Amino acid sequence: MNHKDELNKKVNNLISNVKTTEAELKDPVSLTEDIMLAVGDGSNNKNEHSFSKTVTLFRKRNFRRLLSAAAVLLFMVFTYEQYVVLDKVNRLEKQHLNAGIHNSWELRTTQNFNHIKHGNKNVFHVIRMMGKETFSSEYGGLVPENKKITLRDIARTF
Amino acid sequence: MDFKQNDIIQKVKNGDASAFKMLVVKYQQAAFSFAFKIMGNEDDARDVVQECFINIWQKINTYDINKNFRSWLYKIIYNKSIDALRSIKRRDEISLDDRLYKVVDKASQEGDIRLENKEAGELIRMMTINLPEKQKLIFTLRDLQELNVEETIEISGMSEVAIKSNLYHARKAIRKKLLTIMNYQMEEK
Repeated sequence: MNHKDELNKKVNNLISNVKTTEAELKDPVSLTEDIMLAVGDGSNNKNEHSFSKTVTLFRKRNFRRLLSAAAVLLFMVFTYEQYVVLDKVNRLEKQHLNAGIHNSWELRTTQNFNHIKHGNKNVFHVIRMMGKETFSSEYGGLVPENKKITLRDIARTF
Repeated sequence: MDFKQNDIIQKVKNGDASAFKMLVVKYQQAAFSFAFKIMGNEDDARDVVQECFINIWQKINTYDINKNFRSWLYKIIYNKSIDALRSIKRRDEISLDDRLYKVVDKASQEGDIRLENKEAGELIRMMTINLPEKQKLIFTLRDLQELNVEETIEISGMSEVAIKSNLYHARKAIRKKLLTIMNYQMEEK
């Protein structure tokens, strides 16, 4: 048998084998049940009919795939939202904490100055002068005349 | 089960669900096998069969009891399958890998080779994937399902000339494709 004949024979065999293969329906009972459920066991009741339509819809693979995709998408959106919200809350908390630390530092320095003011007037005078200089440099040497420089202002400049 | 078809169908026409169930049990395997040969996929064939029987239940009153029930059933499956094929056309693809070559090799052996559903489905899709819709369907009806010309005319609604022409082109294209694949396989060996 030559090459061409052999090929032709193989092609014929293949088509013949595909032709004679009877695809076997797996789990026929479940298919029957699905069909009977979808037709609502022959009920003419409208509610049951619409229920059976819904059931049929849910049994469609494409519809189930669509539902799964929608669920995954919703979960991703939810995760992203959570991330954004948590990030914002974290940032706000950090800001609040920093502000708290800053304020408490100013307060403590002011208290220390008060302590020095009552304990050692000379040292306090030196600190006050240094503070004033630094404070006035912040204003570019132009401190408004009516500006009352408090200990808290000075403390803030250190 | 005592199955007198016309009595059963008459009962179904009168809304008897248990009679309809008997009809489903009797024909679902044949319906599945036919749908499988068109769809080339178990899940798709199952969906088509389910929709087909729902359709039969809803339209049983349009069925003429004097006509062949099997042809009417096949016609509904045929129409449902066309709809299904059009909707899945975009996702349907098949790759000629080693596994498929092995299936081709197995199916081309002499003798009565028993193919698994998956193997048969892949071969059907491989053979018909690039064919125009009409050629694919006529090839399935005439060569795979082995229906005669009269039944094919009734189911497809095409003329005898159109059926012959589509069948000729389908066979030619399929044979050419299979020869190319097998030739390549033999050279590889």
